[in-house]
Amino acid sequence: MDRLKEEEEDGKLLEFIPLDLIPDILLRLPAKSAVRFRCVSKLWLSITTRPEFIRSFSIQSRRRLMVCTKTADDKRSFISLPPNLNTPESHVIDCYMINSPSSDCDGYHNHTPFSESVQGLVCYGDSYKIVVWNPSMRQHVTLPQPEPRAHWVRSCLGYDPVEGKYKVLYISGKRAKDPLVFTLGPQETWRLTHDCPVHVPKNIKERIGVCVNGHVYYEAKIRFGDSVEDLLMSFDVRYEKFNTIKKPADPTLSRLMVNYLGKLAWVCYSTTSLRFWVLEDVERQEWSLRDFLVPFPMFLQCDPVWDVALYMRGVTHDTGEFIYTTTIHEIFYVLYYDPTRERTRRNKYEASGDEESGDKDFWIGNGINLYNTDNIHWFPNHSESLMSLENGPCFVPDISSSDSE
Amino acid sequence: MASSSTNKFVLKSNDDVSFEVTEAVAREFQVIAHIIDDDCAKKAIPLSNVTGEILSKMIEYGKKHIEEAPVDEEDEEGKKKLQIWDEEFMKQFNMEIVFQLILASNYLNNKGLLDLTCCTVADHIKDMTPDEVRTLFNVKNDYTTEEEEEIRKENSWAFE
Repeated sequence: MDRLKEEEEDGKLLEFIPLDLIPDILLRLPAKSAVRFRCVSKLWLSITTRPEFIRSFSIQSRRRLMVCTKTADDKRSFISLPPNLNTPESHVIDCYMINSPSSDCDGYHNHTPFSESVQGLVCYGDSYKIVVWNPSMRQHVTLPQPEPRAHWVRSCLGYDPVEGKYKVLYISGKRAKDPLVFTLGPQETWRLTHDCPVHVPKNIKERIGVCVNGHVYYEAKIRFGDSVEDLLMSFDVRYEKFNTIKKPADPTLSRLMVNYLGKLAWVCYSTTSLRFWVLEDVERQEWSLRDFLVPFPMFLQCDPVWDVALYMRGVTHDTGEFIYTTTIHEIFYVLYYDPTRERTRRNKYEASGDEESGDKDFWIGNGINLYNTDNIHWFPNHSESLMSLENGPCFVPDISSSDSE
Repeated sequence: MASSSTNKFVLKSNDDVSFEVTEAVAREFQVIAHIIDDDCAKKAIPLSNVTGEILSKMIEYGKKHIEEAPVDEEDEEGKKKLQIWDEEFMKQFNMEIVFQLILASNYLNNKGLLDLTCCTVADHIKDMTPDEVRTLFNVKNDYTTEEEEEIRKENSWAFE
């Protein structure tokens, strides 16, 4: 009776959600909404800025395929594509542009990103400047120049899931020097790593490695007496320890390493099948070979359905599907292949532009002034992160970012 | 000993509505599973925090998830079917019922339903203004005008 009376007075019927359940709801929001609701109250601000909440948020966040490109007007645009195409309006989940820092790579060159999307963050740069982006927060940070400066530097972004810390590894690609490491956060500096075997990373012109379960893996050369051996390096992001792992004895190993269902997988060149080695046991250095027939042609042969050549970009973390993509004539072609279930899904993402005016151009339809299509980078398994890059070194707040949803 | 499909239990809501359910459905709710394991479930199990209306919905959910449970991890089709059912199931409720379902699934400890209901609320509020959210959750704005302005300015992109 009392309750009814109260309800009548307040005009409200809702039971109130106890405080300890509020984070359960906020964790399931898109990053943009979670940030907007920091305005609701001081308590909601404190909930959504707690390190524990931020860590759970990116774990909970749904993994998506993200495309990043530099635009002609010196911005970076980030486009998230949905994994399934059920409705015509769902061709793009999110699309926004962020002003580039002056330290961003020159738009005339096609700089490959240093890493995959690592727990929501991506990393671009060259020997002198490294820029880490958190697209979900519309932020980026330029790391200070490492000293001593090295040439042919390769960097890799790593994530320590235990402490929720992001670290950038900086390795000289020419002369073997001790790698440097930088933990993202305020008042951090480059630090020298210790007890690292003298090595030089391979693939110095491309993305060098991949972060899987708190370890960064990349291929390197190590000198033993008179001979030089190719090995796999592993860097434990939490304890900052390096290890060497024997490669599988397979001359067809390519340069592509991916996270395959929580394990490192090293993809082989093959024109007929999908072959890759999985690092089953890191301690024992045990590899197992997987070999699957694929129902579509590979390596620069055109896909029979779309008549375009597709390139492997990675594997979905949740379903183990291999992702092949390309962009031609303003259309995104994405093929998902699940080798264990022998199932292929084809998604063709087209413009959400104005149907009536016949404006089907994906880029124009999404307000993007594209510089060139060679500059498109694919990030499979991109999650949203609330990690703030503010208070980081040289942080430049980006006030003039613009959305075009 | 009777199997969990024939073994029956009676769940009783706080407004005295009784529901007879199989042991398997009762065990969908962790708290009730513990009561059964502790052998305290001889008679009806009183649930002092749940109304009959809400309990009937929770049992409907529990039943469906027992009857239509995916065969195994590989059963993509089964998972998909259940997911579609979940979405349809939630569509019938207004926010008042959804909030009560959150409380009840938390109280009776059903992770699946708690996740589903929290997702429903998140989806419902994601495009709201902070003001609308305050009203829905009955949260008092404890910022000063200047403080709120500051936070809005810092995160202006989230308001576009």
